[in-house]
Amino acid sequence: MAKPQHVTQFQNSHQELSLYSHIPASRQPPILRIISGITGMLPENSLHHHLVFKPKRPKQPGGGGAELYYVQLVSKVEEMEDEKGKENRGYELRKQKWKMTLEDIPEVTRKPVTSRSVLSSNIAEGDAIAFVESLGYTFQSAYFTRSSRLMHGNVIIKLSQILLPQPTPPSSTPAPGAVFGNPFPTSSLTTLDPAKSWILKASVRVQSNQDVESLNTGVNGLKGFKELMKGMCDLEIAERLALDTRVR
Amino acid sequence: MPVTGLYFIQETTTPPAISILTDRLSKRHQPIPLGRWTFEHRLLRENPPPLPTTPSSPTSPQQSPQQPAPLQQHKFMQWLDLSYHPYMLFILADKQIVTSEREFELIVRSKMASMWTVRQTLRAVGYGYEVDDFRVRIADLTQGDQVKGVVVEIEYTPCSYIEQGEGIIRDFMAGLQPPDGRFTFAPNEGYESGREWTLLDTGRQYCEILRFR
Repeated sequence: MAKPQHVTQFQNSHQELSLYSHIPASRQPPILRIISGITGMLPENSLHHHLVFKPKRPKQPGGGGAELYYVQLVSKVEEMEDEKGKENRGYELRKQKWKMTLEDIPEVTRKPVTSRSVLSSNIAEGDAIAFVESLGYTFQSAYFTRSSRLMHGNVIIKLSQILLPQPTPPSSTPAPGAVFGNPFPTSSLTTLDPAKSWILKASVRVQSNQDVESLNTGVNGLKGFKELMKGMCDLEIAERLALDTRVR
Repeated sequence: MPVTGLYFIQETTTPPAISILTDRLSKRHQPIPLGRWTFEHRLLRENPPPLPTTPSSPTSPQQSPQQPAPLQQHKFMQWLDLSYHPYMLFILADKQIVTSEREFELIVRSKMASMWTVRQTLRAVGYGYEVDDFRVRIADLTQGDQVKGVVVEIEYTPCSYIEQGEGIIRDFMAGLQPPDGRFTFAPNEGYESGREWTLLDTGRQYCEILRFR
C-alpha cells in the first residue's frame, strides 16, 4: 500500500552521537552558568519519570539467537505549584503521556564519540504500562531524572541527575501503582549518587546512520563543544558496556 | 469521538458488494465523495520462548524428553494503519490497545524480532463518502491476490455514545439493504454504559474483524 508521501515515517528515532562528563555537585551551578553564557539561553529544566521493563522470556541459552533489550517508558512530569507554592501532588501515572524508548548498545566504532541508535515512539491513547507488559515485558525498576537542557548549534547539552523514589516501607500495604514511584513531593526523591553529582551529556541527533556527511558534521559539532568546555570539564566517550541495554 | 460501526461482508456476491453498496448510496442519498481510503492490518504472533537446552534449570522439574511442552496459548499482536489517521498506528497486544506513532513498527521489527513475527498482512482499498451526518467508507479487503471480503465503516458524527449511536448506524446500513454480513459493535464483555466512544473503540473493532481472515 502506498503511504502518503508527506508523512515523515520516523521522527523520533535517530542515531545519537554523544560525549559525557562527570560533574561534582559543587561544580554544577558554575558549569550551568557558563554553558548558559555560551549558548545564550536559559536552561530548560525538567523532571522525567522512567520505567524500565525487561523481557519476560529468558535469553536464549548459549548466546545464540537474537538479543533481547530492556525498554523504557519515559514521561515528563509537570511540576505545578498552586497559589500557596505547594506542589501539585495529584500524580496520575496512567494518565501521563508515555514514550516508549529502546536504546541500542553503542556501536563499535572508531569515531571519537559514542554512537548508538535510539528508537522511540510516543504512545498517544491507551494504558502504556499495561501495553508494554502485554508485549512480553515485565516491570523492573523506576527512577527519575532531573535535568537542565540547552542547545548550542546542533549540540544538545543536558546536565542531569538520577533520582530514586522513596522506597515503600515494607510493613505497610503499598498503594496500587506504588512500585512505579511517585515524584511528589519532589523533596522525597533521593539522588542515586550519594555525592549528588551530575552528568553532562552533549549529543547530536542524526536521522540516519547511513548519512556519513551528517554524521561527520555531528562529530565535528561535538568536538567543537568539547574544545569550548576544555578547562571546565572533560567530555569523553562513554564506556560502551556501561551503556549496554541488552539482557544478559 | 463519533460512534463508529464496522460491517463486514465475507461472502462474495455478484455484482460485487462494493458496487452494490456504492450504487445504492448514490441512488438513495446524495453522497459527497471523501476520496480514496486504505488500510493495512498485520497480525503478529509471539514466538515461543527458547527451550532451555540444559536440563539443570532450577525452576522447572525434570521432564522426560518425549513429553511435549505444555501447549502454550499464543499471544497475538495486531497493527492497524488507517489512511485517514496517517500519523499513527493502532496496536493491540493481547488485550491492551493503544495508539502510537508509526515508529513503533520499527522498534518491533528491529529489536523485538525474536519475540514477534508477522504472520498475516491484509490490505484494503476503497472510497469514502459523506452522507448527511454519516461518514461511510467502503473497501475491498485482500490478502495478497485473494479477496477476503468487504469492510464498511460507518461513522455517525453527531453522537459519541454507543447506546444511542448503535441503533442509528444499524438502521442506516439496513436502509442500503446490504449483502449478508455482520456488525462488530461491542466486545464480548460489552461496554461500560455512559462512557464516551473513543478512537480505541474503533481500532478494537477493526482488530476484532480482521484477526483471522
